[in-house]
Amino acid sequence: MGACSAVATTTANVSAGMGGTGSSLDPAAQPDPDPPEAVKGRRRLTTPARLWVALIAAVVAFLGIGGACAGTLAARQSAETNAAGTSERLVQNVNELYHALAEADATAATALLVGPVPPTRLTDLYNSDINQAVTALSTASRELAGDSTASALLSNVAGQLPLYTGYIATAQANNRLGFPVSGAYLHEASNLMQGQILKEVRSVADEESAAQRSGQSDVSGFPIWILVAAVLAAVVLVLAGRELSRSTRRRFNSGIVVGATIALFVVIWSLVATSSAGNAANRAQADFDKVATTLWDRDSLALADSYQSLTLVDRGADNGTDAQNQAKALGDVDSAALKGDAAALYSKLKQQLANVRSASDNGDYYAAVELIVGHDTKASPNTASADAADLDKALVKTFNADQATYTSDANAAESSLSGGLWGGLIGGVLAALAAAYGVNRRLAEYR
Amino acid sequence: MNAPMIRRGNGERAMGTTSRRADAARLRGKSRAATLLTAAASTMALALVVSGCSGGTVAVGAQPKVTLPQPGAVVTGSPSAAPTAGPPKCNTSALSYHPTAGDASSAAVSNIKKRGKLIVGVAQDEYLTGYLDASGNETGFDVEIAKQVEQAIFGNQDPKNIQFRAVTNAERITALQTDDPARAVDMVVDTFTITCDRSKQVQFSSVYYNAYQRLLVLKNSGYRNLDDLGGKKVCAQNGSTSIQTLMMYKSHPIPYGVTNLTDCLVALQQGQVDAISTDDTILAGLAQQDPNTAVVGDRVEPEPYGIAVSPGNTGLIRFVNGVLETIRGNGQWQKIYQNSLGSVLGPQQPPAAQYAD
Repeated sequence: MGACSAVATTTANVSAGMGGTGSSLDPAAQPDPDPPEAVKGRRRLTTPARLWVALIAAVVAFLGIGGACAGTLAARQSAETNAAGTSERLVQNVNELYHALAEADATAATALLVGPVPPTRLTDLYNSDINQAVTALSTASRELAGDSTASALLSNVAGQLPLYTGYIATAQANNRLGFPVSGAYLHEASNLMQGQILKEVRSVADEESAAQRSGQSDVSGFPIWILVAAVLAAVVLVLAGRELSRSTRRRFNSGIVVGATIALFVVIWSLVATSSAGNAANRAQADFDKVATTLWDRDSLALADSYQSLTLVDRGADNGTDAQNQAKALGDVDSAALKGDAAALYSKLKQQLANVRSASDNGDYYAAVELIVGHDTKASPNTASADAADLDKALVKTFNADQATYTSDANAAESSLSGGLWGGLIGGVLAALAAAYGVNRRLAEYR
Repeated sequence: MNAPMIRRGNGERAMGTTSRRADAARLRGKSRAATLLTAAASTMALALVVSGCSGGTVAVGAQPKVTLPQPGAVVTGSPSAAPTAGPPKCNTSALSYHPTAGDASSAAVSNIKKRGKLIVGVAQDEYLTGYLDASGNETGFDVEIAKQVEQAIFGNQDPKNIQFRAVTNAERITALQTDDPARAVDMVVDTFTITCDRSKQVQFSSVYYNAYQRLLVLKNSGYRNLDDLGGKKVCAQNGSTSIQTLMMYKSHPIPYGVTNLTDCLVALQQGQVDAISTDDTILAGLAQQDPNTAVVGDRVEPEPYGIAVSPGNTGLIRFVNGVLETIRGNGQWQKIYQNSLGSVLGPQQPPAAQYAD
């Protein structure tokens, strides 16, 4: 874009400069500052000087076109690289952080339900979730080091996570002794997780989603600067051509014609490349929306699980907020977007959770816990937590498929633009050389 | 399920960059010179903008203050506003009605029998009075009293015939007034202190236990009673008589209200409050969960416990009073007390019944 304004100003400067040179050849015009006189002075330029002006104007115009095309394509390629290579990967990373934390919270609450001795399966899952969360957190912190808003949020998360695990550990210790204060510690932990940590992670994820979106829309926008440069160059070339045909009594200058052909080719090629990259970027954006929906569905389900377990830990001593939160989290799942297995598993889980709800409403606490996790230390196939795990697997499958499509569309957008920098620059330089050669042949007649 | 990494694009070739906000961070896609420049610029910007902040360099020797989440909140309100209104005097120990011969066949009792289930509002986190034991069963002093009523209605104690619904302190009244079948209960047995105000909203039984408001403090804190705690935070449950006593108390402690009393223990263990003030029965349960605490102080305020039913349900309350008469006389009350509170609060006799009629 800078290249184009440079075209205009440089051309103007060159004409003025040439006017100056011309005036020095004709000392009569030099001292007169009046504009009409200056115009007269330029008209009085010698033919070689006028040819020089035309040569330089044509060279600058061709270089301008080449520069505009190269700049636009390179900028778009870089935007695509950033959107697909960095922002989207961060969206995944931060989402995984969210999911691991939400699942850890659900698992910790469920483990307390089972009894004083938590099943190994659940403690393993909790530990693995915390591990995954810490890995995701450190990666995201590293990649977002220059972004002060996101860094501050992630740094808060990093500070709160040890408090969270501390509360859970205290809850577990008290639970082993059969003390009801374990429920209070679990609640403290959950409030910290749901009320602060997850909200902070969510805003970082939203920020990265917006960055991804803005990167894709940078790629799919109309390449206005290529068009502006082409129009400006065409005007300059028409003027230069007219000057040349007047001075040389030839209708066309072959060098300018060859240059214009090359430039036209470069412009058309750039427009085709940007348009095909734009289409691919639009497809990638649609893919990204699917990926994001699936990721948030996983997160909402993990949240719903966590509230479900809390409902049973509190057994109504929470004024019903757990149940409301759980219903909201379940409602946040975009059930219309669920495909294949996921749709069926979602309805199964919903039914199972409704059974849990009615069991706990009837005060049948034992049955409710049985429906959620079973009392056995082994995983029972017909519990809500097993259903939730199956659904999560199905969602991960959907995610992998959508993610692959996204990657291939983003790569297509990027490869449409590849070579844009050198293509534009070389095309521009070749066209300029042709023009210079063509005009120089006419100039040679005066030497 | 690690998120698959996307292959990085040919970032090295790209010269132009978008002017997006976070681009400064994504140095890898740029030329080396640009990297150096951007790094220099962002280092300066960071130093200026977030020096001393989380994103910047950590100051050597700094000890940042970590603010722990609060399990409750300081209750604000004029401490002198409440007592000037002056609640109408009533004898809280004699607000209920004599049991009569036909109570067992009253409509209220027959309805429960027909339903096959007595629904009782209880605490689920009050150690020794109403809590879930390790196997997930409701247990404690109040729960055992409720089971005596169940036995009187159904002839035996069977988990099928009794449903416990956990209620918060503030919910003890609403659960008796609501029409919502998911929240409603037949009776509340949950360390429910009989007061003149409450007796207008619910129907109380005769007194089945006399508790006293006392203090739970850390053993090494030096606090002996509420007079030592002027200007100090003292935890109690929102909606309880204890928190009102704190608001009016002459030494002006700062009341700190929580939803469930176990939250008070969390606050005490985290050093967010200096003491917990509530019924000695509940404090005994909290003290059992943390051997570093002790129940201290004068018996500030008598807390006569009653079983509550919905207002105007005299049929049920006369029946309940009959059950209480029976267990006072047949040694069952003593047995229940010994199995729960007795070991902590020492031997006691059941309070004698008094009635309004």
